[in-house]
Amino acid sequence: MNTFSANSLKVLDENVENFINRYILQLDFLNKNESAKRGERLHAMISYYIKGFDITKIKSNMPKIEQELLEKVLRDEIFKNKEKFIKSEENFLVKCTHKGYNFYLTGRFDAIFQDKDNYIIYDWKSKNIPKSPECDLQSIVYLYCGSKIFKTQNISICYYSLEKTEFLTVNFSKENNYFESITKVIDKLPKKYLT
Amino acid sequence: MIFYSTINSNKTDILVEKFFNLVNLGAKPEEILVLVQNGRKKKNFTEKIKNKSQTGNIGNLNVFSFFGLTRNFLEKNWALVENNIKNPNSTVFAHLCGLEVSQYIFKNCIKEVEFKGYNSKVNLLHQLLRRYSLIVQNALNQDEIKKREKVLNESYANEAREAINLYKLKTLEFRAFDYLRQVNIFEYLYKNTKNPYRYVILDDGDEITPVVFEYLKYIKDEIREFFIAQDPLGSSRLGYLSATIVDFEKFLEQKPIDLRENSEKLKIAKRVFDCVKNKKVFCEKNTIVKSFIRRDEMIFNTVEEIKTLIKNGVKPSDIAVVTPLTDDYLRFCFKKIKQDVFFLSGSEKLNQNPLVSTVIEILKLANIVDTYLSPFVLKSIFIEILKLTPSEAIELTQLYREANYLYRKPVKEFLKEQKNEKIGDFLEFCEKIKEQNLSGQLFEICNKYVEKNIENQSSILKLNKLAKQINDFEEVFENGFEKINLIEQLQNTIISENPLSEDEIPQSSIIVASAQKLIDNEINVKHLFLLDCSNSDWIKQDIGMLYNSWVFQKNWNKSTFEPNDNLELTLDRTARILYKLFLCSDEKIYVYSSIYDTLGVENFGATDKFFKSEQNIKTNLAKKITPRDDQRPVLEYKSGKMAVSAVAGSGKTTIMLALILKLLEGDVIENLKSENIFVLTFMESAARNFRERIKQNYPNMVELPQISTIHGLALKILKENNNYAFLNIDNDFEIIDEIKRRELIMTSVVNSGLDYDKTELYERAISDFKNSLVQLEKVKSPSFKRIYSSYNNFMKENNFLDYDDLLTYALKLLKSNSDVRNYYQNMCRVIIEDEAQDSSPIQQELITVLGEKYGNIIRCGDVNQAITATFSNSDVRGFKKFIKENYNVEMNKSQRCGLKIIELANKTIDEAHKFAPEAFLNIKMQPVEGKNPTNTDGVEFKVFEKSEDEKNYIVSEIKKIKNEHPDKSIGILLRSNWQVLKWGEFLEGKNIKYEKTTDTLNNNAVFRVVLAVFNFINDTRNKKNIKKSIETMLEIEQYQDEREILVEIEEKDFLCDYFSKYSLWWDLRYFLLKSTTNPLELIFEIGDYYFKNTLEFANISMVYSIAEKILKSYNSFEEMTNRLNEISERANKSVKFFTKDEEKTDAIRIMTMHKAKGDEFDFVFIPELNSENMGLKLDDIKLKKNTELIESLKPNPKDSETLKQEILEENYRLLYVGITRAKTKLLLSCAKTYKIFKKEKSIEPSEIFNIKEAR
Repeated sequence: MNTFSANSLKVLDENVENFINRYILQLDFLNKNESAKRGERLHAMISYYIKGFDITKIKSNMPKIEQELLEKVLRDEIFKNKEKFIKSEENFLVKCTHKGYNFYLTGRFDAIFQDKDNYIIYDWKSKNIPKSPECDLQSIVYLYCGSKIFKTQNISICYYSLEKTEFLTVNFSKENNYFESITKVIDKLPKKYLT
Repeated sequence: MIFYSTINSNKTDILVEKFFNLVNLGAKPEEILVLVQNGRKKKNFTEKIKNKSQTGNIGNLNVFSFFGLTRNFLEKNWALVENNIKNPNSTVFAHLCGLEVSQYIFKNCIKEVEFKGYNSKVNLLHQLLRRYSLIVQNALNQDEIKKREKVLNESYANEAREAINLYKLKTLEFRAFDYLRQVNIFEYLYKNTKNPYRYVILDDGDEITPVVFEYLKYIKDEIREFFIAQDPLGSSRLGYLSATIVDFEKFLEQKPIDLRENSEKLKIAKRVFDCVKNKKVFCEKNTIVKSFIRRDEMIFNTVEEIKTLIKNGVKPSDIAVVTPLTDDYLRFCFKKIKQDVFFLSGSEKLNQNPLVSTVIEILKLANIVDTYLSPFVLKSIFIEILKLTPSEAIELTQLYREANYLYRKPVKEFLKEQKNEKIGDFLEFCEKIKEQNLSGQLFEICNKYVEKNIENQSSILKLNKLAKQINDFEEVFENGFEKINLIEQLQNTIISENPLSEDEIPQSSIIVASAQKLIDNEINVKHLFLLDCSNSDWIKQDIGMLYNSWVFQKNWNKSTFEPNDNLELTLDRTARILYKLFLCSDEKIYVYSSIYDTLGVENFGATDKFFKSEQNIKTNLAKKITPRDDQRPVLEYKSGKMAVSAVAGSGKTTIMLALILKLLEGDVIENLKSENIFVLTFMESAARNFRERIKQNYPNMVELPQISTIHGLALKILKENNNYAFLNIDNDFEIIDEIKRRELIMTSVVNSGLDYDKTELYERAISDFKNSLVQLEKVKSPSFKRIYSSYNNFMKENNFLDYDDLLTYALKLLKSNSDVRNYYQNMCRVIIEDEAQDSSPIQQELITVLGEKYGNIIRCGDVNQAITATFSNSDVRGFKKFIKENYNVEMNKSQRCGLKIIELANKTIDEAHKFAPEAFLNIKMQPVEGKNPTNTDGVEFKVFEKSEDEKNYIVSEIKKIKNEHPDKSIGILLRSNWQVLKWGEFLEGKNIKYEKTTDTLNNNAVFRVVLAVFNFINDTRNKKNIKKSIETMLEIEQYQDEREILVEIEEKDFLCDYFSKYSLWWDLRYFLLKSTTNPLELIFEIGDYYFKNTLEFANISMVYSIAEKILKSYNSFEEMTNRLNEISERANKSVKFFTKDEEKTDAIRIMTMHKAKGDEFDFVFIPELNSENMGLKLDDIKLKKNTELIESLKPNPKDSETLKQEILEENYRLLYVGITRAKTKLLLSCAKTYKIFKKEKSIEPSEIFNIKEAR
């Protein structure tokens, strides 16, 4: 195992055994519930919108409630400057070295907003925004990787609740040792699994 | 840049280096498109980039497999596609489903198109999908398709086009995009979106598909640089898999850089390539070539060699096995290696996994109100899911069986009545999940009842695949699918080859794969075993009724397609595959083949032809025979037609073998190759005998002479080189056995309003009719016409052939197609026919056609032993004529029988003149001086008052013989199978050891034992059954010291612990518990446990295939067992059990006189020779009701007098056969009265007892 995402790190942080079962031994049962599917749909629609596709037809066939939600979201202030979204649904892969061991951080940015030298990583949440976003592993991984990818510390992650059209922003902070927070979690994994 | 490279020249590393060169020069990773052949290579490439990258941002990699590329385009641009679909619905995503969903859609589209007269509706879907796949991967446009339709002169082109268009429309409507549909839309997408790439790295240039190459051509101008690795001899995926050979030199106008290492290995691989292309034989010291007789020998040998390799320190991962046939038999045998073996197989049925199939049954139970699960399945749920104790599970299963059979109680109702906490919970759970959709239900079941441990890893993987399939269906069809229908659909689903999701290959396993899989995954080992090389599956034929993988290639530009094109192209691909395989092995390659496949059917030969061992071993096992004067002319044969009339015991087989060996030496006919000799036998066993004896003489001979029964030859003619296509037969044709045939005819009989007991009549009549080659209009009987048509239609619809069809079709093919006829006439330089007196008119016609060019036809037989005419299609007249018109060698000396017996045999010929002058040819048997047994009272006649007297006399005689001559063989020959059974029971009661020789399946010990265990599992409380099962075990000499169990079982329940003192109890219980796994696997377990001999193990796989066939159509263990019981007493031509080679047995052999042909015994008893059993006067012959009826159905019926006369003649010959089985002593007997249905009935003794008087 050498590649980690924010989600898998969360699982590893919470319960090593679960992590091994799910990500290494693949002993997990896959299931997508309706709310996860709804989240995926909304993500995709926003991405189509940002990329400039005409979404009228697709939107018109979505469930009423989702249509309304989508319309509400797209009316939001942040979409006013659509051209400033430089990327959407963008995968990332960052290589790290820790105690002589190479590992990779991976994930997907829902959207990247660039305003001059400032970068905002948007993350659409179909339900709730993390309770303590500063110490959330997603913020840690995204900010760390974002800083490497865009080679700047003028970067923040903005969690946007689609249901509530609310957002919460966490800025990159020099005081935080993101890398250490990540490796602390990785260190929980028994050595034999680190390849 | 173009790199000529093989899998051994680190091409991937070089390409990775080029990737970093580009990045270092300022290219962004997202501008570089990397293309590889498959998902696993993609992963490999990506890992290499990751490893070589520096710390920090690696960037957005675009490494794709050929299929992944198109998928990625669709995913990224779905909104564009959706906006262009005409209908007003829409979805947020394309449904990127598996092939299962689209197959389901396709199936429904086909229903709307009438493929009138198409002969295999079963195969239609498969054929259309192949056609569609070729069109898509070759990016053929409508014009290009039309051109190909013309080249092939296709009869169903319009229908195919219509069906495919409909399918495309429907998939659009449902937004269902399987991997092929994704490819189908690719061109539209890349032409309507902006190209993001500036550089292309292509790792498998030789395996590229036309559709991907078209894309590269399209973006070429925007690409700054290409890096292409290509193996000029590669392209193993030519044909159906649609690789195309691209001239990249021309494409890029660059010279290639040759990176290929100058190694011995590459030289060898190139030599293999050349040999195959030029049809030459390859020979080299590290290529070990072995050919075995039976497949099990080949597999056992492989297993042993792998064990030795591992013992000598070879790592399992350095060993791979390639075979086109990874069946359960192979899997089972490979378990004996006791190492991890990973099977990299193409497709398998999802519910072959026991856990998956059990979970599907639970879904059924939860969703269907009154469902009846098979008790066998319920037991699996009890044990595997609810974790009840074995005793609880067995007890409850038995209770359910009773409740189910007696009261038709639905399973849920039964379960509700049980006071078991776990069952209660389970029912409550089923009720609770009922409202969810199926994927939700599946998730709940798995989470609650399937343990997440490493033992379950592969099952969980499969359960997840099941979840994906269910989810696909639910997404595509939303609520348009009843849960029950979906469950049924899932039970029949195959994990289709899905190029985008493949399982991981473990690091330390022996790999077993198909050739293509091994190549695709670039698996490099030290020892590579190529198995089943004589099996034609090695060289897959790539054409069918609705697709032609060669003509449907993008670069096809000829205006015709000849059979030779197919042969050449297939050979080219085979050369490429073998070339790549040879590159996969560093040390040794083992090329193994066997004469027979698992079912005992002869392999036609395939890649084995191209290889031979370094040393040429020839052992001359056959004793140099010194022929007698009457035999000598046979061995002096030079050419032309020759008849050999050989009396019983004249050494016919030995002389024929000697003749074949002499022909093989090449001295008789110049340049005669083994494949130029065609030998036809009447029975498969005789063909086997010849093959095996030739093989013993020439262990290295790869291609044996063509030795087979007429049916075997006909099948070869139909199958070889796709010849069936000339008859408009689809390649999936299935030859049905007698059981299936009977079933179909019965249906036709009943449907036409007749009683089912007329089935036998029509079975015979249909066969007669087909063999007569008369047109149906000429038949007078309307009911026959009706039944025949109904049967025939069903056969056509399902693409079935029966045994008679094989002959008529082969003949039709030879007569109607001059290419095929010339091919076989050139091939067939000598024909030798054995048992020519039993030859049917069709067989004789086939021989005439085949032998037309060279005219070297040798027919051997004995007209006086023609005993099959009255119940089969054989016709002795043809052979009689042949004898008359051609050079005839009379082999009339025999050293088998004592003088008195010879005298009686000859007297029978003389006496026949009185009542049946046509019965015999006047060939009298002569003794060989000083060789025949000398026994003064060689023949005894006895007429008893009562049948008991007769029986008791025979028993006392047998006991006497056993005492005085314990080594001598004894045979009891009877008229009918029914008598064989009766005499068996009688001897059993007298404690005399006997063996019945019948054609019934039950005659085989392996079959009996497997069935015995199945019967026990099927009903664990039926005492009669259990007793019978135990008796079977005792018969095969198991548990000999546990006989008292038979007594004790009368008083106690067999399942109770009381019996735990018996090992038999433990064994049966073990199988009972084991029976929750796949019942077919159990057959191997049982076989492996009770039979140690490899020959018997070969028979296990035949039992397996019988059961497999039944299970396929009945789908439950109980039904399968019932059917096995039903067919156990019947003969089955399609199952060819291997038998021990004339092993000495001290048992008395009982058989019919018909069956005895070819056998001999020191002592022979022929009892019950009364005028009914052996009528030798016209007045004694009574026609059976059916005989006349069958005759009346024929186009040219014979009158009853003629029929009687024919039967009479055959009776004489049958008696003659019976008499001439005896070496030293013969007893002919009968009784004046017989008990029939408890009534005494007096019957006249047969006329034979008057012949005796005439002495």
